[in-house]
Amino acid sequence: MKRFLIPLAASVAVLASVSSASAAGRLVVYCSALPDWCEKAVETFGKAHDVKVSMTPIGSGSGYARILAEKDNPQADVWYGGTLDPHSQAGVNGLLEAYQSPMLKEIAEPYRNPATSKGHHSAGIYVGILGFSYNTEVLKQQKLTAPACWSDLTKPEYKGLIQMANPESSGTAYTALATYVQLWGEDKAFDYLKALHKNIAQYTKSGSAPGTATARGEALIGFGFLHDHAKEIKAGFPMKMVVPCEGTGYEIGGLSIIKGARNMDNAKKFYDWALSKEGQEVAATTGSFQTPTNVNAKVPPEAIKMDGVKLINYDFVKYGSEATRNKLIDRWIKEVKPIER
Amino acid sequence: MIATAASVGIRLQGVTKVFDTNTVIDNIDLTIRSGSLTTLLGPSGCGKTTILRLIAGLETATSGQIWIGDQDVTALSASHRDVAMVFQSYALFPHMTVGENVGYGLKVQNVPRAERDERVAKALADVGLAGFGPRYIDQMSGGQQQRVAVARALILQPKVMLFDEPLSNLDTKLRRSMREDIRELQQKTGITSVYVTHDQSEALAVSDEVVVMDAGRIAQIGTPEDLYRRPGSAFVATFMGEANILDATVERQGATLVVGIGGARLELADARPGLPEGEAQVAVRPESIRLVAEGRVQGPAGTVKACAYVGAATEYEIECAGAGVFAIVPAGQPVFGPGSRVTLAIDPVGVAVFAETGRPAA
Amino acid sequence: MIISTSDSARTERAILAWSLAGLAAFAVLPWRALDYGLFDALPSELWDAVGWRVADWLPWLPTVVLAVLAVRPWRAAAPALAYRIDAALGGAAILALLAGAKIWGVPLGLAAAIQITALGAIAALAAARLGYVQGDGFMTGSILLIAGLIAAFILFPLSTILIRVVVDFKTGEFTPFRFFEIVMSPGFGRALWNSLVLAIAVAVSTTILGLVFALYATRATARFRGLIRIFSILPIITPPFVVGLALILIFGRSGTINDGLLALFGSGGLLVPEGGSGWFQRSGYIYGFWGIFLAQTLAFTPVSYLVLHGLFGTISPSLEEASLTMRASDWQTLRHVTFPLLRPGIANAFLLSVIESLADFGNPLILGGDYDVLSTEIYFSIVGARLDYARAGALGLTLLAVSLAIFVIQNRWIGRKSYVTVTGKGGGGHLMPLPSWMQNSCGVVVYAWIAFTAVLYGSIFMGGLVANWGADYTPTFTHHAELWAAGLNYGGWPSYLNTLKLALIAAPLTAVLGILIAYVTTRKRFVGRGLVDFGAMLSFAIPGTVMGVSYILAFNVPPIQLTGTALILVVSFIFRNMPVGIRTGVSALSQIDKSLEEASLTQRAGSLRTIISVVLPLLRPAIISASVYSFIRAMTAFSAVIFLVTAQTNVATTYILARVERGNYGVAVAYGSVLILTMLIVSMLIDHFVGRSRVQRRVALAGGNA
Ligand SMILES: Nc1ncnc2c1ncn2[C@@H]1O[C@H](COP(=O)(O)OP(=O)(O)O)[C@@H](O)[C@H]1O
Ligand SMILES: [Mg+2]
Repeated sequence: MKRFLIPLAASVAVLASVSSASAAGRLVVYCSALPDWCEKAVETFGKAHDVKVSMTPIGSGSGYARILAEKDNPQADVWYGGTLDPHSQAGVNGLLEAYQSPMLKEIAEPYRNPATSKGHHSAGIYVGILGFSYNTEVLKQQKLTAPACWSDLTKPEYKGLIQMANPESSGTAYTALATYVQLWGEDKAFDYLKALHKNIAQYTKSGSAPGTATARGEALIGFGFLHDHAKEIKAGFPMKMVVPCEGTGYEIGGLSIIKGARNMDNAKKFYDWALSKEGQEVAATTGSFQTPTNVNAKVPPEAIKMDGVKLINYDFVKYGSEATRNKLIDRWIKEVKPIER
Repeated sequence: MIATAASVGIRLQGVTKVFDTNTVIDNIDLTIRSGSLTTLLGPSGCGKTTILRLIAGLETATSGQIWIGDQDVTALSASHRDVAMVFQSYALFPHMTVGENVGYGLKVQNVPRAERDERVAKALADVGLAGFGPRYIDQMSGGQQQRVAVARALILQPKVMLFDEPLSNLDTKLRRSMREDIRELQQKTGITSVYVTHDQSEALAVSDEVVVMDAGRIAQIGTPEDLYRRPGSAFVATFMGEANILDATVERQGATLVVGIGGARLELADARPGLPEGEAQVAVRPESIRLVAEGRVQGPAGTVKACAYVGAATEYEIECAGAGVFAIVPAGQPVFGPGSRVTLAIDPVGVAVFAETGRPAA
Repeated sequence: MIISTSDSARTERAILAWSLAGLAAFAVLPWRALDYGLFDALPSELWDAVGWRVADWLPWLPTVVLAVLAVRPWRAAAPALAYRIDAALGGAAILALLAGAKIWGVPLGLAAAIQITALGAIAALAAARLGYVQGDGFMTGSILLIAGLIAAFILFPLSTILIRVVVDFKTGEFTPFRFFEIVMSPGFGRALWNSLVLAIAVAVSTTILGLVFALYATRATARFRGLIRIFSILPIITPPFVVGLALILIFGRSGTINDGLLALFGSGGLLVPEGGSGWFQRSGYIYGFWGIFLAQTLAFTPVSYLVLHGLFGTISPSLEEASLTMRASDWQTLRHVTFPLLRPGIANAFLLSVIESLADFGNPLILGGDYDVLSTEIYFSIVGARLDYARAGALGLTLLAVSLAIFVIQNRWIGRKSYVTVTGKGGGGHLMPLPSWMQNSCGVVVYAWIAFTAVLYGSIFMGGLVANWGADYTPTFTHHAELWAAGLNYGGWPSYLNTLKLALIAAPLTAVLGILIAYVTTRKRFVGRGLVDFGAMLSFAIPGTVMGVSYILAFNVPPIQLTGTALILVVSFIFRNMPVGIRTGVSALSQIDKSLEEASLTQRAGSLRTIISVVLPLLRPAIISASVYSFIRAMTAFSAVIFLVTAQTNVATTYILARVERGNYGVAVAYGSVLILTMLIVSMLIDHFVGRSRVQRRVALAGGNA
């Protein structure tokens, strides 16, 4: 009997020992940026404003899922980071609170109200550029030439050496898909994807996996947002980033307040802070090298310099919409995925 | 042993027990006299244990009512019925000592330690196990375990004691002495007891009254002597000892019944009303048959098929008018070899006529 | 009549006590669920959630009913009528409360839970007085509790999945044909097909290996048989995908094998002529079918080994000896006597492996490559680029249906057909040793396995101790330092401690609940047993991903609002691992003669007392082993929790996965190795302290009596 009761008593003791803190208020953040960044951001903000912040790291797709699921009873107050598309979707579906922050005046014009709804449901906190990187050592070993354009990647010499994420599961890969459609038109874009398909070693589930695989030499070339790759290069991996010569798409990092937030005041405080110079400079300290949207914020040296980069005029309204998204992904599943390679 | 509170009887009224779709106890009415030791006797699977468990409250009757004394206990749980049971497997707790087993019920009742120890010691002494208290159950022999189980049942001075084939795990010799002990304890305490067995000699030896059961129904109730001498059916006759079931004619002549079997006319003293007349089946005990050479007396004739010498007697199988007859003839009588033609001389004391016919026991 | 009145008085006292407990909870405890969890709540938040302070009339509903039950104005009525009123009122109040909370969106908190328990207990007491479960109040209450828990945490969540499929999540439209549309979509059929092919392939290999191991362990004369036990236990204490991770370290694109081959045959390799380009290139062969197959084979072979090993023990040697005396050779005896006897066991091991493989999520997730299976498709339907609960639901229901069907076959058909029943007449005799050629060939397989496992685990432990497996093998502690040296609030500590805490809380509860279910379903007859049986069976078959999805759908909104709390993890651990408790309970109970409990009942002990004084001591070894196993399973839980964790409630496995996703293999395996060590130490400690006690030996003895 005694032996049996001990674990029970222990459990209860552990349970009871969980502390309860006191603070000026609470804030719950769903964070779709990298976990280190998320942690640093809420810690910095929480200290500065004496707010007890709970943060849940959550992929941008899951974030949307979660917020949608919780719409009758929102659990979180702010949704921080992650590509803008799902923020847009959430805004259109009425899940977000409209808010015109006083800090918007410091934000570069295109990113003040970028979301589909055009109702100030989200703001852009950073810009990330889509591209690919190659592993310089593998390149040397295999005696291959370095690619510079999207079109180079369909060359047979790269067969089995390229990694890309699966657009079914990854927003990054969808951005690439949408970029091709905007560059070349839908049919041409799918011709390209089919040709590319022959060279793909593996479609990864997550958008950042091709970058890490390339850094470690598991792949020669990996697609992704280049700020992720910058991080690997900073960590010392033999990798070189390429901004493709045809031009490329980009993502905007979203920031939104959830409709019906329980801690609306703190949510707004956080929103203002996240748009501020201090808020945006947190990213680089944790090794995330996106380009900040606050014109006063320092651009980290590792980030891609915007001048000389050919960006397409990415139509977030159209390509962020669910209809377009489903149409393109379905077409990819039907036409590209089943091809033998 | 301390005398119990006024003993009470048990009454089952229209009790039926159905397992899934299988009717195991079929609308039984049964009254058990207070202070008696009543045996439930019947072949395996006839529902004896089920009745015991219904009385104990370990099963719920599908319909009908059960009374202990003047209390309707039908909906009462086992722990509130004030019955004690000795299980076939003894069900002694393996993680407790002998003393702890016997004192378990007292502990449950929060009887103070000192009193408990005293009563346990006394109960163990009563069953002849004084001093065995600290032992574990696996250090006791089968017979001793049996006594522990009895002591555990008696210590709470229950209104009712139930025994489910308590001796079936013991060897023959031990069985005989244990059944005497149980009988003695029961008589000393006067606790109403129900005793289940499938062994008729055990039943005859210990009971005040025997309830013979057949497939979920009561076949006959009576004293051991009643059942043996005046079985109510072929089933009871064959189950209570061995019996030959033979075709006969029955005639009532004043205070006697005249039974004709194959030419022999036997006068029976038992002429209760209600017994059939005319063509009927009767039971003939094998030990009431003597064999004589053919033609010497009037009676059924037959051929000896086999004979076996079993010490105190000779057992015969005789083919008689197409039926097999079994006879046990005491030593000292003439012996007939297989093939001999013989006539059966039947002693009327060993003949029974029954109110109902029906199948004999297997 | 004396007993009867005192019985009634006792029941009435109990009803009064429960009513007062419910009223007291209303007075002082938080009635409404706390937005940030009970343990993280601020004092003011706690205070505002107390029943009478909540600005809502719902808390008053059960409170008023409880107050009425405390008074019992109908106490003078005939008992049968009075108890009927009690039972009906209690049950109706629970249903009304749940319905009200659902309709008006009030999340129920601690006090409400206590009130529901009180109302249930009162209903149970009254029902027992009316003759339910042999008039046993405690048992009736337990059954009601079990039925309630199964309904709330298994049946209700699953029903929400079904609703998601037929009602559109975003628009609320009724979409009866959505399920068929999803089933007809191209990805669906492929995933189903892939899952089945994989499951069957894995089951074939694990069954064969399990058989080889069991044969070798029980019948070989070799000295190192003991090793089998250790190596067969290892995968059980390993988080599901850590095996997969080790495979990546060895076979991955930059794994040891690729590196080795590259160094020999790759461009500029040792065995490549100067200037030649070499024929070998890095290959991702491990990603896809073969990778998952290998990982699952490694992970599930111990299960089939344990099933078959257990079975070998029950075959009476006298059967083999009988065959040998009839001049059959060793091989003929194995072939014609032993194997046929094992057939149901083999089928059992096979089907269990199929179920395990279907449910596995971790390995397909990290090794799957393009090989989509149902469990990963469920996950990516929700977290993927498009959010489709209907698709996740349809996939989940399909997966559930397949596993349930297989489970039913396994349970009903094989279970009944088992020839190897324990007759208790094992008798003496020796198991026949294997023919030497078989012993040798089994030995090769066994030692190859052991060597392979050793390499894999070596790589897990070494992977955490070198700078960068695959590129830089400099020994270093940086990974461990990152995890464990940054203070308790950073690195691996929060998730590690959280996992430990939650698993410790869940394990004993899992064991107790499971064994209680085993107890009532095997020992008691009662109306509604079908529901309990069915719920228990569902819990056996339900895959983790399906459970995770169903929990986020079901417990996101009132009446039971748990998402984001640690409680939902504990609940998921309990109901996910409940089968462990049930299985252990059923087998332990089958060893204990039922008449022991009956003897206790006739000794005037109530059923609670009987359980405490008789059943629990005899079941102690079973409870401990079920607790340990539940603890281990909770520590390594992954497929359901990935849907349920938050930053505050992050657990070890999800932390590791996040590192894997970021390509941080060093940290991931460093953490994995610590986790494995933890569980090894915990299970050894418990083994040491509990061991085989006197009780256990006596239980074995009691089994002989049965
Ligand atoms: N728990 C039970 N479930 C189903 N059938 C039962 C159960 N207990 C007893 N039976 C059936 O009831 C019949 C009578 O059993 P029982 O009372 O044990 O017989 P006896 O003790 O006379 O040998 C048997 O056919 C037995 O199979
Ligand atoms: Mg019996």
